[in-house]
Amino acid sequence: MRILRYILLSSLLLAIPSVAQESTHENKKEEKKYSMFSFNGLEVSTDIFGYAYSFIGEYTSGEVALEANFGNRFYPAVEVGYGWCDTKDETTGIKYKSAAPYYKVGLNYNFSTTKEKPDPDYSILGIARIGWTSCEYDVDVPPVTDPVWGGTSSLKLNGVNGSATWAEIGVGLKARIYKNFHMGWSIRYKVLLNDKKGSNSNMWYIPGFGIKKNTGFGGTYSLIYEIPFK
Amino acid sequence: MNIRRFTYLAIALLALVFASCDNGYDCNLNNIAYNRIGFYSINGDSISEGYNLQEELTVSLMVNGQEAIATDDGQGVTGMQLPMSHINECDTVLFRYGGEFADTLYISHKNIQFYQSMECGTVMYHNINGIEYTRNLIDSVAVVNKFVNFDDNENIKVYFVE
Repeated sequence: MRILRYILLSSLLLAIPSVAQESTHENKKEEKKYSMFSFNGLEVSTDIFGYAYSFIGEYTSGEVALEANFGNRFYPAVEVGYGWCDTKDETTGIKYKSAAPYYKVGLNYNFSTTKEKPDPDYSILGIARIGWTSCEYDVDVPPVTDPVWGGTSSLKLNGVNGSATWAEIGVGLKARIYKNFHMGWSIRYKVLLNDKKGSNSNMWYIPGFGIKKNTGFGGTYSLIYEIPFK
Repeated sequence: MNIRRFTYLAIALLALVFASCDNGYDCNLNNIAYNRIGFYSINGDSISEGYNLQEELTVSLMVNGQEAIATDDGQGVTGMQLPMSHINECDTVLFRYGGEFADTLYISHKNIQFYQSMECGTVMYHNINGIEYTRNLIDSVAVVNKFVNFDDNENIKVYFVE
């Protein structure tokens, strides 16, 4: 429900500047020759949703991305982030701690670009990524009672090695705010492809992916700066 | 045309929202992995395949110095499942046959506490290192699956004399 509210609100925010800017850029674009694969520049962005997620979730992350613009249609992308989690479950009393970088590569496809409108102020994007992380995590489990013999056993693990690979597909919206500045959001469906299990533990939080599940959802809300090539 | 393509993609993605989100781990909340023991004749026939023990069988587990009866199903019992200690590394199992005869199994094992997730907590698995036993009505014992977890596989076969 929170995610739905976020999408609706951000769509409204994005709609206002994109409409205002549309007419001013229209004339300039008509002058440009359209080529589907011409290199138009780079875009640098940071995701602010990851920082904000700590207010509603058990983990947070910071992420920067670099995208190359080919014909305003194809955007090969590299994303580098750092995710961290330091939490305690109130019911089980288990503490979990992890922090590690993660990496993603992939492609955005801009559905809005046409020959008639080669550089629209808004972009509707299809998104594909492959993500990978390698991390260490700590787990501290309070004493557990043996239900038959009695007595307790506890588990404390430090510096357990874990790694994971996942795929993401999604959709996004991006709009020009001012000159070379853009804002955008995306929603992404994530599929965990593999993860390394420890001898005494599962990895619970995967930096860049979130809480470990076979499938999950994630979102980004990005501030983007376009570095023009010409 | 492009917008239409995007719409298809968005619909496909939204459909995934309603798809099940499976955990990547099994959540076992009862925390007891049972040691599954099957009873066989010396010829390898299971008890259910026509072979019957000659005596009434009662199996007990020694828990903190006390006998805790695990099964007293008599002659037709084909096997059983026993909990294993989470702290001790040797469990003692008593087989009483109604009369004077009795046998004892000493099962040595390593306990492996495994963290599942924040929500599911931990479970205890066991690795059977070896078994020593007396030979009154028991002919032999074999460990067929040394890792004791939550599956239905048999871990130990006990062969009785005929």
